[in-house]
Amino acid sequence: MNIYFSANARDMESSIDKYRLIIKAVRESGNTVIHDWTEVAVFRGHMVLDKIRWQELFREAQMGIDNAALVIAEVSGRNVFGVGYEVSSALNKGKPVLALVEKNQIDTSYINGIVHPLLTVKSYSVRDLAKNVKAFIEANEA
Amino acid sequence: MLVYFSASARDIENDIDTYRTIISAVKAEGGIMAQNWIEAAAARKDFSEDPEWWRSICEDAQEALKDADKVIVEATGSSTLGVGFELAHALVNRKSTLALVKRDTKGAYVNGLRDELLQIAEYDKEGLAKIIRGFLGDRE
Repeated sequence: MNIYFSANARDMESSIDKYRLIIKAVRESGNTVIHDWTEVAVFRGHMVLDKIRWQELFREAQMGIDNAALVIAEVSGRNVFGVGYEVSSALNKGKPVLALVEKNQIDTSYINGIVHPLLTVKSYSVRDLAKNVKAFIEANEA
Repeated sequence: MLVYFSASARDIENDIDTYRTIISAVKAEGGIMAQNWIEAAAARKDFSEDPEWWRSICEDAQEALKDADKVIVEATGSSTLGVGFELAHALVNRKSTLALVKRDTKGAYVNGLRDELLQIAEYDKEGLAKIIRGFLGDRE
């Protein structure tokens, strides 16, 4: 099963470890992360992208969502405009979405207010991140 | 014309002047705010930890979006999960939408979005009213 992963790419140094845990959990459950952009984003670092490159990234993200059976989104922190857009896009395209929020941020996150039959919201610590990912995949396996 | 305005409320103390300029410009064009949450957010300052409160915020936003003829979003602000979510929702609901990004903002995701109903405009405070006038004046 193809799974698209959406997350903030701005602060990769501090986020990449948890992103790798999520991606590892997807692969360990026998699934594929479609259009895995994370390692490229680490390599890119703080490089400023021009409009053309943003358009390519947007197109790739939409293709990733279109071709995915499920979407997993890490929605913690600031600067998550694109993640919000992609969560909404995925839900509107009928894709089940797992929104992961760090435990200390869950109570004040906008994601708390979104009610949608295809949306699962989970707060996590690094310790139970993989377990949450695998449980979501299992629950959505046909 | 009913206009819905979406923006981050996290740093409202810093952003309130810009938001008020946007709302004034809408009203100057004869527009009516579909839901004017700005002043309530400015008065509140702290974010609730009650999930029911968040649910009511989202429900109100979805209703207002549905009712609106046009949508304006401020897409520069920090912590904009909700703004990204509402922008996508507006486009799915075929609302003509203006996304405003502060001039010289580096790395804005919104710059990558492409939709026939979406206009993206870089702004400084002085030019805001003119941009909004142009958007609301476009009756398409």
